[in-house]
This record gives sequence, C-alpha cells and structure tokens, in this order.
Amino acid sequence: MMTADREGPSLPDRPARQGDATLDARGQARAPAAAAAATDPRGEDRQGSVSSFALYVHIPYCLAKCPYCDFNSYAVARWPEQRYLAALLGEMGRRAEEPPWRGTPAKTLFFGGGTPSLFAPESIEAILDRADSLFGIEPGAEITLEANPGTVDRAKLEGLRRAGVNRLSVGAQSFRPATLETLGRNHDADQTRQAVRLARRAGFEQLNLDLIYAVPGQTSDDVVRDVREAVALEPDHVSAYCLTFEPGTQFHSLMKSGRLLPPSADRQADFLGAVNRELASSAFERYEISNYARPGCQARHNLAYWRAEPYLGLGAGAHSFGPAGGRWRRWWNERSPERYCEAVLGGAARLAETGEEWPEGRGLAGEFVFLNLRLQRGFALLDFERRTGCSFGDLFSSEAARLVDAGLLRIAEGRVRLTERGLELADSVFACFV
Amino acid sequence: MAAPEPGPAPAAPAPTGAAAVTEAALIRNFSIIAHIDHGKSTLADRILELTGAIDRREFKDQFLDSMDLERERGITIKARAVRLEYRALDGQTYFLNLVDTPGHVDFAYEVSRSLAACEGALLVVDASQGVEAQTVANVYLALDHGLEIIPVINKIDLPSADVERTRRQIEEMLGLDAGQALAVSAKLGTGIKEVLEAVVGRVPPPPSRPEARLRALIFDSWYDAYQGAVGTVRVVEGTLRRGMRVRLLATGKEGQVQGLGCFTPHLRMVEALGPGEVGFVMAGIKAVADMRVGDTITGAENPAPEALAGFKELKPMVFAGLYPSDPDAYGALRGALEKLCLNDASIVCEPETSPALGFGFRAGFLGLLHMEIAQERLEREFGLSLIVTAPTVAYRVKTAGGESLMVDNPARLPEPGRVVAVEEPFVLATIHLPAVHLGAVLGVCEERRGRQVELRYLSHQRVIVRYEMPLAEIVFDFHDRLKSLSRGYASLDYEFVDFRAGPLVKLDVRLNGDPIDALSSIVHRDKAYERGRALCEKLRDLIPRQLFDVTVQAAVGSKVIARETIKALRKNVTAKCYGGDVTRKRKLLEKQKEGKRRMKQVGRVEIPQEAFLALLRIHQ
Repeated sequence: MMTADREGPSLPDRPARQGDATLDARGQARAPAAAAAATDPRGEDRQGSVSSFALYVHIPYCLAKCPYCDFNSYAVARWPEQRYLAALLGEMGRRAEEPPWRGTPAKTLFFGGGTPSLFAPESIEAILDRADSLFGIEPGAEITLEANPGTVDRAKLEGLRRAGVNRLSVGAQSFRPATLETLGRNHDADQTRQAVRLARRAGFEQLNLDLIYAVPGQTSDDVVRDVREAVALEPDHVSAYCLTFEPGTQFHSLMKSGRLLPPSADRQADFLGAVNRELASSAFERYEISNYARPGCQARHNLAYWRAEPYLGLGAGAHSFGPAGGRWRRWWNERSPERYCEAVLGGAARLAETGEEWPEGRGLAGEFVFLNLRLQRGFALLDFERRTGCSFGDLFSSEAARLVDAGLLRIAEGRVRLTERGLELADSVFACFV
Repeated sequence: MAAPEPGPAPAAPAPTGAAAVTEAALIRNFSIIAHIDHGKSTLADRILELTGAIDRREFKDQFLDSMDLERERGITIKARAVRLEYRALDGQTYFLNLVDTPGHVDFAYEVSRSLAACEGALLVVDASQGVEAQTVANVYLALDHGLEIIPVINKIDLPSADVERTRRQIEEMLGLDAGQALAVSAKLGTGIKEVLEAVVGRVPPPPSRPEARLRALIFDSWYDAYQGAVGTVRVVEGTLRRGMRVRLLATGKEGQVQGLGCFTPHLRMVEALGPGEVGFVMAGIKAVADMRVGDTITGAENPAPEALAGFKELKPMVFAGLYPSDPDAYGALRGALEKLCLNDASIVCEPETSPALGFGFRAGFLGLLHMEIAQERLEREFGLSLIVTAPTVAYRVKTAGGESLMVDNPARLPEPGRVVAVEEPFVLATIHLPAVHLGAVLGVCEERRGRQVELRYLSHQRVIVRYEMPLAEIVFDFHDRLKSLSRGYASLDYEFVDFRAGPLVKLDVRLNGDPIDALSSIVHRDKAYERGRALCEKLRDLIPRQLFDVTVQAAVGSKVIARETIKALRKNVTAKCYGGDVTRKRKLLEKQKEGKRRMKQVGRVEIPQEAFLALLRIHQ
C-alpha cells in the first residue's frame, strides 16, 4: 500500500493500466520512487525535495461566465482545445525536467476550471498519459475532474472514467430553479441528478457535489432542501460554499449599486448552522470550513493545499508551490489562455510564469497556520516545527493566548485547531497570523 | 537647492525700475467673489490670458488653483495675489492685483483681511443659476469694507442663461445696482476685455502717500523651510524697500527685509513696494506666529504711530485630542505637529495623556473645518494614522478652593464636589438671511439656547438677526444646519462675548463598564439624556461587532442614562480558499488586519477612528 492518506479513499487505479503493456512497464519503472515516498508521510524530507506532489491542471473555458464567479475562466462558444492541450503538455514536459518535480510521482491530480468537462475525454487521457510517463502517477492516486451537469452525457462520462479519472466533482450549486437562475447556471436540477446517475453507472466511485448557499432570495428552508436533495443523490463528499461577492464579478457590482442584497452576516450564520446540522445528520463530517465528507472520502488533492504541501499547477493562471534550493517558492502563470499558450508554445525561457515569491520566516509560518487551521483537525505542533524550524509558541505565543482566551482556538494533545466558534470566525483568527 | 536671487527675474520684463515703485494712479486692487462653480477660476484664467500673464504653452485650466503651495526658484509660493499688466483702451498700462480669498466661516477673518487689501471686487454670478448663498456673506463683507462691487453675469453662452432675471436677483437679493452688470462667458472668452475696462474705470485707485511712514497690511502668511515666515502684504502708505529694517506692530518683532516680490503669476523679485502695491515680503522672521494675518508692517527706524485697523488675535475655539493610532508613532506626531504649527499660527497644542488612548496632544483650532484640514494634512503629508477625539469648547471652572481653571478637555473636569460653577463661552452670532427662512432660523437659534438681541429687516427680503449663544451650540454643526434650513442663503459670523455659568454636567461613555475618557463631553443638564441616548445609538452603529457582546452606556456621574448592546459577531469566514492561490487569501487577510490596525484597542474593545467623532454626528 502506498502513502494513501488515512482520510482519503483508496481509489481504483487507472483502468488503462490493465491490458496496456507499455503503461504497465512505466508503472513498474516508477515503483522504487513510489516506495521511497512511504518513509515520509508529509510528502517532503528535510532537504526540501519531495517524495510526491499534487498536480493541478487548469482548463479556463466555460460556455457562460456565472455572475458570481471570479475564477480565471472565460466564456467561449468554441475553444482551441488542441492548442491549449499542446501548451499543457509542453509546460508539463519542461517542469518534469526541474527539481523538485523531476522523478517525483503525483499522488493526486485535479482538473479544475473553468469547465474541464468541456474537453474531450481523449484530451484528458492525453494529459494523464503524459503525466504518468513524465512523473508517474502513484497507484491509487485520486484523479478528480470538475464537471458542469449541463456538459456531460453518458459517452463523455464513460470516456473520462476510461481515461483514468476516478473522482467526479459535480457543480450542482442548487436544486431550486429560482436559485439556479439567480446564479446564472445553464443547467437544471434534473440534469444534475442525471449526471450523478450516469457518473455512478460509468464507474466513478468518488463523487462530490458543490453547493452554494446564502444566495439572495434564498430562505433557510431553501438551503435545507438543497442539502437534502444533494444528500439524496448519495455523494461521498459535499462542498458547501457560502456565496461570496467577489470584487470584479457581476454580483459585486450589482451589490455595490444596491440591486442585489446579500443576506446579513447573521442570516449567513443561520444558513451555515443549518448546512452543518443537515450534513452531520447524514454522517458527513465537516473536516474543512466548507467541506464535508463521508468517513474515508476527504478530498486528498485539496488536503495538499490546506496542509501547505507541494503542488504543481499547469495551465493559464495556475499557481504552484514547492521547495527550491532549500527554500520554498511559489509562482503563478499568465492568466490569459491565449498568452499562456503563446508563451509556452513559443518556448519562453520561464514558460508562462508571471510572478513568484519566496515565503519564509514568519510569513511562511503564518501561511502554514492559516491554511492548516481551515481543517477541523488543525495541525500538529511537530509538523509546524518541521516546516518552519521554530516552535509555534515562540512565534505566536501572544496571538495564540488571546485566541485561546477568546474561545476561538484550542491547543491540546500536541495539536492546534479552531473551536466550533473559531470555525465560524476563522478569518478573524487567520488575520492574527498574517 | 538654489537660493532665490534678489532682483528682477531675468526672463521677465521689468517695467518697475530697479528701485522705483508703481504710480498708485495706475494700480487697481480687486478680488473675485463667486459661488463655487460659478466660474471664478475660469474667469481668472481668461484674465491671465488676456493680460498675457501666461502664454498658451504653459496654460492649464484653473491656473491659479494649481499653483497653490508649489515651490518655485527655491521658495514655497502661495499665489494669493497676482500682479497683471493691462494696456487699457485709454492707452495707459495699468497694474492690476488680483487677490484671492478663502471661503468658509472658520476663515472669515482671513477673508476680511484679503478684502481689506482691495478697493474693488468682481461679483461673479452664474446666469443660469442666479445668486447663490455662498456669495451673499462675502458681498456683505465686501460692502462693509467699502469696496466697489462690479457685478459680472457669467455663462451667458448656456441655453438656460437668463441675464435679465439674474440682474433682477442681484438688485433684489443683494441690493446692488445691476444696471451696469457685465454679461460675459468666461468659457468662450466673451466680454473679458469689458471686465478689465470696468476694473480700470470703476475700481478706485489706491490713495498715494509714498512719503508717509510705512504701513503695510499682512493678509496672508506661510512658512518656508529656508526663508522662514513669508507674508503677502498690501502697502497702504509709505514704501517698503529691500534691506530696510521693519517692525511688526502687533507682535513687536523686527527684521530686515531680505526679499520682496510679486507673482505675475511667476515669481518676480522687486526692490520696493509703494503705496497700493501688493506683493510678498521675507524679513528674516522665523515663525508664522510672528507674522500674523492682519498685522501692520512699519519701518523700525521711523515707525508709524498707529497700526492699521482690524487686527485680531485669533483664539482657538475648538479643542480636540490628537493621538496616533499606533502608540509608537507618538514621536512622529510630535514632529508633524511642530511643522504644522510653524505654518499655521492659529493652531495651539500641548501634550496630554489619556487612559484610553495613551500619549497624544490637545490641540486648539479656529473651527471644525480648520480641525479637519489639520487632521487631513497630518495624515496625508506626514503619513500618520490619527485618532481625533470629540471636539469641545474650553470651559472656565470655579473651584471650591477659589481657583479659576480653563478646561479644554471634558475628562479633566474636576470632581463635582470641587466645582462651584462651570462657565461656558458665549458668543454674539450675526446671521444674514432671506426673510422667508426667518421662522426656521429663529427656531434653531432658540433650540440652541440662544437669546435674541436684535432682529432687523435690511429690505423686505433680507433680515439680520443677532443672538447671544453658547459657543458649544454653534461650533459643531450650527453653520451646516443654518445653511440647510435656509437652502444655503443664511450667512453666519460670530464673536466671543464672555463666560457664563450654567447647569453643565459631564456626560461619560462606558464600553463594557469601562469609562472611555476620550468620549466624554460637557453638556447642558437638560440635554444630557437626549445626547446620551443619541450617542449610544451612534456608537452602536459605528463600532463594529466584536468577538464578544459590547455594552455601550452613557452616564452622568454614577447614573446610567442610556444603554445599547453591540451583539457579538457570529460569522466571519471566507468560504473558499481559492485553490492554490494562497497569495489572494493572504491579501484578503492582510486587508482585514490593516482594518484592525486602523482601530484603537481600548481594553478588549476595538474602536474605529470615526467613533471618537460620534458626538459630532449625532445630529446627522
């Protein structure tokens, strides 16, 4: 057995591995590296090289831009799939020559967007094949793809599953027509139900449903009904996001001009309480601020972000984080898909990188804290020390004491975590560590 | 840094000979009175253009405004008066001094000194808007100084312009003869020549007494890091020469004239200023406090026996605590205040401490606007983040021990047992207003504890009322209230009368039981309950929800008279983590933290800056 996270599921390997001799051969060739990874459950060693990492692939295209969405996505009627695919493969090839990714297997893959389900299964398969040959994909790796219910049919889902995707994240958002309309979604609740049914039939063992609540016009009952509808589809994982009015979105300008009124913070708190209760009663554990899972079904890829573990992001606007020469480096790519393709395909020396930073000292420590504290289990004091070289108490004693005093933080049994109330006021806590 | 060379600027022609002064008969001194947006700056631009003061190449809109406090040739300049040369139709070249004026009741004194430097004024009225309020007060002030007023009806190019109606308004509302009012369009440049001809023909030349003993009126002064105090002056009689020793009659300071000059609008050094001339003077006097607006400059050798009339020692009316949001910035605040006081003689300040806010200063200002300007300058020019406490007037307290104390900080009011009487400053307020608004204005004067001493009709449409009122009732929002009640047409002026005892009590504010000294105020007993309730409500709205409930109480002595609760914050969490984009999340958190930094932590409660000014906002 590999370095599988206790929390995460054990997933079937890519089906292509059976029956495909070359892939088998590649898989065996990787075995020694994968075995080494087992020595360090955190996925890194003291020299800062890593034994495995999370690989993210960004597909920036959508059929329509949702009015609340501020992700790096672009509404298009047609998209340059081959060109973008070529750029992704090109970027991947170059990264695979660099430390720390060189010779290191991916333990999770995530296709996010945008709407990755717009891409043909063959394109996804090409990316997975290349990742497997360049880095190696660990046996049992979690391979997730985000799908818009309006963009999948049986053939596509079967194709994606065959390509090796083993976890589908379905953007349900709501089951109530009025809410879906406010959110500008181009699908209805039936399409969501159908997508889930087809996904199960196609062999996806792990299934996530995304929900958005605190949408203008929603009542507490509406929120509860949405959660129940979602639970009725028997997902393994639910992400329930309180709607945020992000600067730059249509919703934000509507709010600024008074044409859209977000629910008050107190009502949002009521909604959140209702979501928590509903999901808890159906045996979903709230393991992160907005994420709920059945036992053993936590999203392993996202756990890497929250634990500040290394990840490589490919594609327009993607962010990456990993050790480099004894320090930590974070960088990000050009956001425009066209300019991204131009840079990578044009052979630019720094690929499509447009920015980087080298977090260190108190800054790195603060990030570690505010990312890990999103998790219900928080972090171990030992892990903090291993990452930062300092003790948590030395660095943050006064902040921690104040927060413990205020009933927001708990330090016990070698771990630091938020209390129930701390989870609801997490930003107030996090702001103390930046 | 090049020191300015005395003598005429090389590039500029020098019609005034090296030591000669301009013949007074050829000088015209005037200012422009206008409501905001009625075209004062545009008219000034056209006048500058027509007189050739600026050429097309350097022209930019609102030229004079843009020159405020720039540095030119090593001197901080403030073009409060511009000298222009105009060749009139009679073939003579005249020297026109255009004097600018500030425009708020806090600075009424500066306006009056600027007008005292003139013989005439252009009254600019927008032909589509008619006479507006702001104009009225300055017209009366100009008439009080005996100025020749030339009405100028502007914006006649607008489709909505109504010249005849505007003419009638000027006659009816201001009592001026508008028969000779000029119709112009400053925007298009129509009628500008006629304006200049009217200035030459109708504004009287200044009296000429070049051999009299020198008397020059200072109507503006500012601080320059290299030159010290620089004053803008109007020579009334005698001659001011470079190199002569001068004395300031009010402050008694003496100095030697190191530089004389004028703005054309570019800086030009001159050797002498004669009767009627306007220019600036540097006399080796360091502080602005020693070169006060309204003071008279005379020769030290042969001084004039009497100062020019109208000098007033400006006394601060409003006091407030100034504290750095960040306690470590105390030294920076002290340095900034020292610099500010060098520049503005009407600010007084001394160190004080507050249990809630730590180390800071108590500062006195001419009025609320003056205070806000000072605060803005401290924050913008010196990069400070400030807490300004509720402003107050200064009270005189008689104690049991027979002492008489001035209290300019309510928190310092002695214990009730030690106080025999609390006396508050009273002023005589003079209000000009249209008769139609009389009822409303009288109502607000009564409500503010005023006692009427005069009510007189100036015409069937204009009234003047005088009230004796507590200063505390008028310094904060009375002017704004008057303006809104009279649709802007009432004008206000006031002067100190005396201190009078009254039933005054200290109103305290407590947050979670702890008194916050910086929020204390002294109020009339009959108004304490109402003020306390309004204050609690305002604080409830201004103080953000905290991680715990906060009770807000208003109390007189030990008696709580009002109470509000700020419920604890229930939710503050961003749902998304933005995937791998940690920079974004971090920026959001940094912003939140920065917001906290701008708050003052008092006990466990974080109080935003605005809350300390809640007392001012309870009427809004």
